[in-house]
Amino acid sequence: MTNSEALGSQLWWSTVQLIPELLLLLLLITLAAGVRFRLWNQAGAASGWLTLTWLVVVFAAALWRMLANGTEAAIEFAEGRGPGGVAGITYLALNAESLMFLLIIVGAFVVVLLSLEEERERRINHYLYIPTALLGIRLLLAPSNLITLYVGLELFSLAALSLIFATLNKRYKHLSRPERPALRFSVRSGVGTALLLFGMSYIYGLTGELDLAAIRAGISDIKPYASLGYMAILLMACGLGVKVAALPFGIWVSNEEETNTSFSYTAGAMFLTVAGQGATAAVLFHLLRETAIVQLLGLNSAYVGLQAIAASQMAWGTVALLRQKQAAHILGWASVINSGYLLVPVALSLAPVHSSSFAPLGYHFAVYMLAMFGATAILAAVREATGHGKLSGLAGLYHRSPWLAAAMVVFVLSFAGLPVTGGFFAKVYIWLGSAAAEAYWLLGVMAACTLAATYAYFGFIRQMFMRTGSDERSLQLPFAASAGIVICAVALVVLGLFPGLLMK
Amino acid sequence: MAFLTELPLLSLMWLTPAAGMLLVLLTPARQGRVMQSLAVLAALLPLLFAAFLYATFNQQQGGGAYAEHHHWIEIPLPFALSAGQAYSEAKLSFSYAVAVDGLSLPLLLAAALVTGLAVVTAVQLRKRRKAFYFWLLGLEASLIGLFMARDVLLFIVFIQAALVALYFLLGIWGNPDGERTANRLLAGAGLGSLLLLAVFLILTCTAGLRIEKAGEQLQTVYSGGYGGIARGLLAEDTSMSQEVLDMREAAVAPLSEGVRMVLFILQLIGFGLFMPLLPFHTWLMRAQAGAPTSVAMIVSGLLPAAGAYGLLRYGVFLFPEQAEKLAPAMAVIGIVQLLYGALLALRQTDMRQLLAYASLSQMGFIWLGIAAFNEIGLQGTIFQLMASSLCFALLWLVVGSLQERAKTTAISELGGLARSLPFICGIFMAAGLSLIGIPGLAGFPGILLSLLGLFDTLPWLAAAAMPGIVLTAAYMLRCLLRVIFGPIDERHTAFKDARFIEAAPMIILLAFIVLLGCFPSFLTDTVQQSITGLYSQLLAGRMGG
Repeated sequence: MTNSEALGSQLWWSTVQLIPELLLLLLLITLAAGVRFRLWNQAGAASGWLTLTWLVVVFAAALWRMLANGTEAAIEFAEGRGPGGVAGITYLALNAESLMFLLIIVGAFVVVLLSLEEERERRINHYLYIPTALLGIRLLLAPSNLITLYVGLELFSLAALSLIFATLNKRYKHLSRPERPALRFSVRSGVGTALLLFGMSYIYGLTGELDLAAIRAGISDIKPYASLGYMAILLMACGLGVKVAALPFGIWVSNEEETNTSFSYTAGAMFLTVAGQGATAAVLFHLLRETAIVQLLGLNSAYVGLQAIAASQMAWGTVALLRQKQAAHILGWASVINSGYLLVPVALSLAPVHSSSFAPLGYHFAVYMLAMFGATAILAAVREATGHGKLSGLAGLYHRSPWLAAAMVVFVLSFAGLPVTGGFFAKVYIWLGSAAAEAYWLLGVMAACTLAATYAYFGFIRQMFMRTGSDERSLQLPFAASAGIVICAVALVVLGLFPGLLMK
Repeated sequence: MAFLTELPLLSLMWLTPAAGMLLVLLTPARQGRVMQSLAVLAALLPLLFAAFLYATFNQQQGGGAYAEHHHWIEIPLPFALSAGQAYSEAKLSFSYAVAVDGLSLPLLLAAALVTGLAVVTAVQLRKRRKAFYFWLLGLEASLIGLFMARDVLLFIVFIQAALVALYFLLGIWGNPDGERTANRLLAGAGLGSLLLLAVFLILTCTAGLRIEKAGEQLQTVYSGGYGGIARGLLAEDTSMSQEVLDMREAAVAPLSEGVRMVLFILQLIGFGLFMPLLPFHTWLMRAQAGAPTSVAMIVSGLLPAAGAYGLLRYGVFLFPEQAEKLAPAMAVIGIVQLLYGALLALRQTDMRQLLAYASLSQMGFIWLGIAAFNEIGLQGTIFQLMASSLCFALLWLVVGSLQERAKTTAISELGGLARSLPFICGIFMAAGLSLIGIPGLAGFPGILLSLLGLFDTLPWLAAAAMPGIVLTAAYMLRCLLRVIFGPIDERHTAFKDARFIEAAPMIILLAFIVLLGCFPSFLTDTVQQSITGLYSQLLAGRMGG
């Protein structure tokens, strides 16, 4: 093969490998152009339908890439090309990151479907945040160096910011400026960026490298400066937490005490919450595996430390959950509990005897995402009908809209980890990992939290089936939102009966 | 009927009510009669299957032919184990495995009978019938599945599905405060099921681990199959090659004595929350007292039976050494429960409360039978479980009929009902006498065998249980005599006796109670072979560790 043929082949390979990302970029440009030239204002839900269709194409391309990269020939071909990436973007093979990316695309599809027929002004900035967040998450999932990690995070924050500017800020006009969510978000995002960059600068200062593989190779050299290494890890962890996990969570509970709450029930906000948590867990999983940073921290302390973080997050979320009266707050704290659950497989991947796999993380993420999106859509409809977001708004839903109540039961059972929903096997899979790793205390914490949280989740059932509401009118949902809810509920039941479909 | 042997009968047993749920859901609410007929048909078909299983059980060599096994969850785990030169990949395996033996078949028959008749009784209900049938059929499917499951995960699926169904049944149709009762169920039985899930997952990762030859390679399988876990806990497989033994050693450390004891105690609490076990009994008392008649029939007899069955199969048979060590403690708990429940029942002025405490007290005999730790005790336990399931179902049926007419269950407000309701009162008397343990009725052999078993091993404790029988007679006769005889209230003279839809389930249940009382061999002969096998397994486990 001549040099020019080799170059052409490499270019072709790189292009093929990045088709889903390029398609997302094209969607972003199209949507942005539409906003600029006011195309979407007259065209109804056109931006939504475009995004929806495009996501199907992106999903197909990403699936094809995952399967194609799984074949031995493709792996050999890729191996012949060196590090398996271009411009710091690692190719995704038949691996965990690919699966996570596909799951998040499915989540984005459901979210767009749920919000397709919302009022125009609530249609969240014409879905600009969807491709932006997906691109950010894609970079976060398999960063080959610290720069891609940073760019991924910033892209994700940008998506969250665009969502907040477009929707939430309008709701909080009555508040004084510093309290407005968008401003608070911007400040916190800035703090997160600062912490992250500061931590990265320490790593760069110690190793002289930004590439993760090179950092891994040089990790033993920085042992004499271990304290600086700890500082760097701490700063980066805080930055990551603030930017991805903590912030969308802040959207939900930042005005907890406000009585006439008007939190955004939009599926979009929930998408960023859930996808951000999933991406954080996946990036942690990736970094622990790729950078050998554990060597610096000590395997045991990292293992126990991560378990402790996961356990405290679940316990904190559960205690707070029991106090909630607002339906959205229950989901908000449920997301905190679930982010703790997502951390457990990451922690167990460091177990001395049995290394846990990515599969429990991916499976839990999928069912958590479906249940969260479905429940959010139903709560949004209830809030629309009742004019408030209290849990009591669901009273008598069984009489008004029995099928909607039935779907909500599926979501609640999944949250509580009960059969015959996907949540049951997600719980079993993660508990099994803890039992195999002999982390019995963590198993105990999870069992206690599950029991207490189940009581809170069943508050939805108590309201829907055991109380009577003042309003007897049935809830009217747009067709697309109904379809989205049906997809979530059916998928959860199918995953509950045949978990092997996804687990394999 | 020979064609039935060709069918997957065990699966059909729980799938029929499950399909009934779907049919009820899809039937329009205005077609009440169709919905009712579908529900009753779906509920009674398992009884037909159970009767066939029972009738052909001996011919099938102890029921061995009645077993179904399908792979359900097979997931390769992305880690490998190595021991010396050997290398093994790992996978997770849970199966859809169902079977019946001498321990489960009588209880399966009782479950099919009581739940089937509970659905028939529900015909009288008027409030939100569609949802009621849906959840009642769900409860039936779960309880039937639970008695057949031979995989720990499948068992948990059925037990938790039963809890969800009960939550709705108690929360929506329970009185006076159904919601609170349902929440108590969540706290009590929910805790129990979570404890059991944690124990079962630990067992899957330790005793359930097996090494298989897959071609040239070895494969480590984490399995939830009951047989595999039993072998892993009780018997050393001498046929294993050194390579396999090394790999097993590399994969998992054997369970120490201490860990086994902790796991057994956790099971004791977990299943005890269903049985109930003092002091975890309050939720079940309230659930019984507040449940509608059809649900109370199930909650008072079958739910404790499910707990006791689980404790025997997954606790006593898997951890015989630990069970034997704790046998005196279990016997003491049994006696305390027997006396405490009976004393409280004696103080009750309401029939519903009285029956709730009576069931708590009667479970004392079950504990005594288990603590006896011999073949007679085991027989007595199974007999007593079946007898109390039928007896309490009948008692609740009678109390439901009386409540429907008198609008009260307060003992002081009822009296002389034999004049206006001779049939119902006759049934009430028979069921009450069976509970007391009068010979010729089902309650007698169960109590007798449990106490005989205990006399063999712990005679002093058996003697201490005697006052329990006297107290049982005292509270039950007090209630029967006051309600049935004496002066009758003017308002109660016009009551009409049982309608056909009420009388039929009562007659069927009473027929079974008399059958078991007069011909105990109907039960003992059928299950003898299996019980001897199980007892030998118990002895082997106790000797071998």
